[in-house]
Amino acid sequence: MAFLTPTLLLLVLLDLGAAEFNISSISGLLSPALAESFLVALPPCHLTGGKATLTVRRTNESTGLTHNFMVPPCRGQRDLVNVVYSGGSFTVTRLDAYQVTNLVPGTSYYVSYSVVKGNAVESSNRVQMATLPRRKVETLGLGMARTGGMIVITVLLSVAMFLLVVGFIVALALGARK
Amino acid sequence: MAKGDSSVRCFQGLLIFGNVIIGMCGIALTAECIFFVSDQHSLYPLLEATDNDDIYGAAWIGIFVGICLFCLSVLGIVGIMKSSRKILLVYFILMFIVYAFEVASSITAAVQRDFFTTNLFLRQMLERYQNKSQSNNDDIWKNREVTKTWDRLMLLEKCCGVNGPSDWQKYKSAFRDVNNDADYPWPHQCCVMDTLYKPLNLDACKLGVSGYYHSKGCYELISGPMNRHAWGVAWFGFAILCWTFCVLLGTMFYWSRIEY
Repeated sequence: MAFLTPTLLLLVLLDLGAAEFNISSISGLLSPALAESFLVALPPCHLTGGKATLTVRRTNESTGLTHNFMVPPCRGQRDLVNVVYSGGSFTVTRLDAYQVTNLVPGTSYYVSYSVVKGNAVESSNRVQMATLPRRKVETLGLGMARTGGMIVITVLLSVAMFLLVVGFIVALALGARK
Repeated sequence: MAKGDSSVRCFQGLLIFGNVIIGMCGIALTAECIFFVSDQHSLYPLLEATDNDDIYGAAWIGIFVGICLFCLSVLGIVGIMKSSRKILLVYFILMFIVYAFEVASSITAAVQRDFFTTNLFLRQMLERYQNKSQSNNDDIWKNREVTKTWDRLMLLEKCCGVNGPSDWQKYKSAFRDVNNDADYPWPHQCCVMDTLYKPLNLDACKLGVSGYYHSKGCYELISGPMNRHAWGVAWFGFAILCWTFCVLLGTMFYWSRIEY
């Protein structure tokens, strides 16, 4: 039993070392976003330098793709667009988000992080994100916008033309009779 | 009808005045149609690619009708002043022909205007913009002209797509077939540009960050000039025809009362 005690202690420590953080959709962007990609917020600043594993899977599947990257450093707040330098005639900005590409249009995905930093492992909540559905061009109807003006102008001008012809015939008849 | 009668003189004066107005309106119609045909906004390639450019045909007819109306009004004035049956008969016959052409032009312009829906231009943009397929020379030329027109429109007018940049995401397109979605979610002409016409921040533009791409659609900039063109040709032509109708009826009555 004595040899079990250190192992149990280690497991408890590991369990205490796992923490959770929240990720959410990014605001300030064109929404709904894109058809074949979406942007995921980066892990929080205290995990800078950690190895992040982003898991993306379809909502109706159990397995998905994983993307590995190093959590970049924070410069001040963890906002999407940060102004790094501004002066003179130009501004340098920095974008802080992870773009997941090569997705399928019109599909819902579950996204979550797992970040390992030193001995600690932190996981994020699971967020549902969707890509924009993409339609075929043939679904676009090309019907005319029928307005009343078209009817009015056609009727009036046709009647006017007819009346002119009738008037000319009458004038011919009157002139001949004289 | 005694020529010296004051009421006859008055009636002649009215008819001459009517023909003067017709002459001036003819000149104005010609000038207006020349302006439309000159395509100041360079949007003709979009219409040509839809095989629906009848408003330009109507404008061309308007140019020649306007000139004819001016010439015939002079003929009409001479015929009325001389009270000549032969001159006025020629006047009537030629006026009927010109009248018929102007009726056709007005109706065509009014009807064709109703084709200019957002879906017409959206479908054309999605099918032809950056379409490099080599089906036939006509298609190659149309695709190239549509691409040039859209590039110029988006760059200079600071707009994107027909309804907005989402057009390139919501629908499949020839542009999507040749461009990677991650690098080109929409054309780079939709990005906010610096003074050297380079994107201010390409990454922000590609990601849809507000202020770095143009969110406004180009439909208003296309349909505005085309609607004004169509309305100008149709309804100004209609107004001239209404006036000419009255003058012609009056002249016919005058002609029937002229003694041989």
